[in-house]
Amino acid sequence: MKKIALALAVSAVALSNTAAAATIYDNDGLTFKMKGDWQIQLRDNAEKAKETDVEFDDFEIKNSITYDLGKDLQAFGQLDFSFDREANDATSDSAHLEESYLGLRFASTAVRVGKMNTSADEFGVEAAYEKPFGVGEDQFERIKDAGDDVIRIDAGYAGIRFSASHEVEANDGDAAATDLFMRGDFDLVTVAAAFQNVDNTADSWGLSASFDLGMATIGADYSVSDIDGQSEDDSTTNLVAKFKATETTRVALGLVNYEKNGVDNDAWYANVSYSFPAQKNVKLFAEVSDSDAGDEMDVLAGMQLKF
Amino acid sequence: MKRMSLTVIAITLFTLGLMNARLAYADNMLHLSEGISLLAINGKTENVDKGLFNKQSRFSLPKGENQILITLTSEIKKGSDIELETSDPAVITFTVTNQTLTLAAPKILTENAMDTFNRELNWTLTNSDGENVVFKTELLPLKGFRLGIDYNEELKKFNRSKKPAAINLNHNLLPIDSGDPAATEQAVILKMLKHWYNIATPETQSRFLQELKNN
Repeated sequence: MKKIALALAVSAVALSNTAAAATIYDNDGLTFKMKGDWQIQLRDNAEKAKETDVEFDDFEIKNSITYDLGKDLQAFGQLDFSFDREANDATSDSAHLEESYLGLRFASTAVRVGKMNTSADEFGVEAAYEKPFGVGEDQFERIKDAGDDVIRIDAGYAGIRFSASHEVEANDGDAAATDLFMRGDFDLVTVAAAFQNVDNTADSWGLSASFDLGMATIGADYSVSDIDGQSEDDSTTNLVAKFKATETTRVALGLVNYEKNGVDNDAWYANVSYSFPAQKNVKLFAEVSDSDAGDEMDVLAGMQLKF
Repeated sequence: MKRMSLTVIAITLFTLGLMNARLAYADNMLHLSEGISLLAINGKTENVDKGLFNKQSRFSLPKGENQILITLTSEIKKGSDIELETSDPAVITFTVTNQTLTLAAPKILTENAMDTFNRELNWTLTNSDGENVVFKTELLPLKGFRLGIDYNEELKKFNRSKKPAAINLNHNLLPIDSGDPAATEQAVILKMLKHWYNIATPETQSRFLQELKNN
């Protein structure tokens, strides 16, 4: 393993008393929230061709507007920008749009239309900062987890959450896709199921379960895709265990099995995260991972700011 | 001799004052469950220690009626991301008498659940026997821009109102531990000096004043 000079600038970002609150404005039924997720890593990539590098991940700014229309009805809109591509490569486009949609919410049911993640993106228990080389998070993330022309409905009641989305086949060449997702939170146990049909491409389905044991959470998921033109199905299996080592420190250990075109890859990862007690939105982390598909271990350390 | 008498009185009062102060605080503790952040105690943000590495989930409180300003932060899974959602600041008022109280909130897994929590404010406050403790709670009314809010001023406004969770913050006899031991001790000594003087007979009061004059 290459030695990495970890020059982490640990400056306690002393935000004001309002730092944890993402609400910028709230009056007369109008609420404007701004959220962000900024992450930077010093990474020794598992691909031998890549040198140790500073990588920008999730440099997102999210803007949410909500209007209270009365009688439990709300109108809302979201506009999310991400700057990580430009930060990582100056030759690429500037800030790209991650999500942009408008919607209506009545009680615990919401409908939205626009550019967003599809319902099956909710699936999965994987807990790595960066996927081990050559493996995916799950089959839905690999096949399709977002679209530009999506209509999505989300509803929740008494611990059960249901989501369905459909991407319209548009002129941009994206195939039509329909997703279904359901999750049940029952005290210590969470179970979920997902299905996705992408026209002329693949049908995927998946099941997951996780158990909250107090100081530890263990989880597993399995997803499989029947891909047109392939004789064998592709599948992804995740096992994860997350521990609360202290009030501020968490550890996650994961195993991944990824079958693609009949080729089986196994991978593992381990990470540790420290959240500053005064501001839990500030986090330091480190991760190691290895997979059959990589040339060597992947090692990274980084810092994340959320607001 | 006179100086020694005065010194003995002062030491006695000081010791009694400190004992009372420690007894008054040590037996009155508030424990915050995971995700709950304390913004102010009894109208003052300065009463909450926000050290860099300080993970305080247990706070000592003066005996009697207390008021805290708190928020709840939960991790919410959105797709493959985890986002942090924080509730609106809530005021909670309760009475503590030689107890350890635990404040908890329901598990919040979705944005909708957080919106519901902001409306229902279904906190739970229990004592060490697991029994529910009565409290009053409501959101701190904030309007307009939320940047650079002065919570001390907002709480002053709130406590001047007739809202159920508003209290008169001057009723506590013993000063809150401000983190400056010298200031706290002197405040306690002054209180105790006044207390003993007021319950002394006129003759004792006269003798005490005479000794002070002579010193």
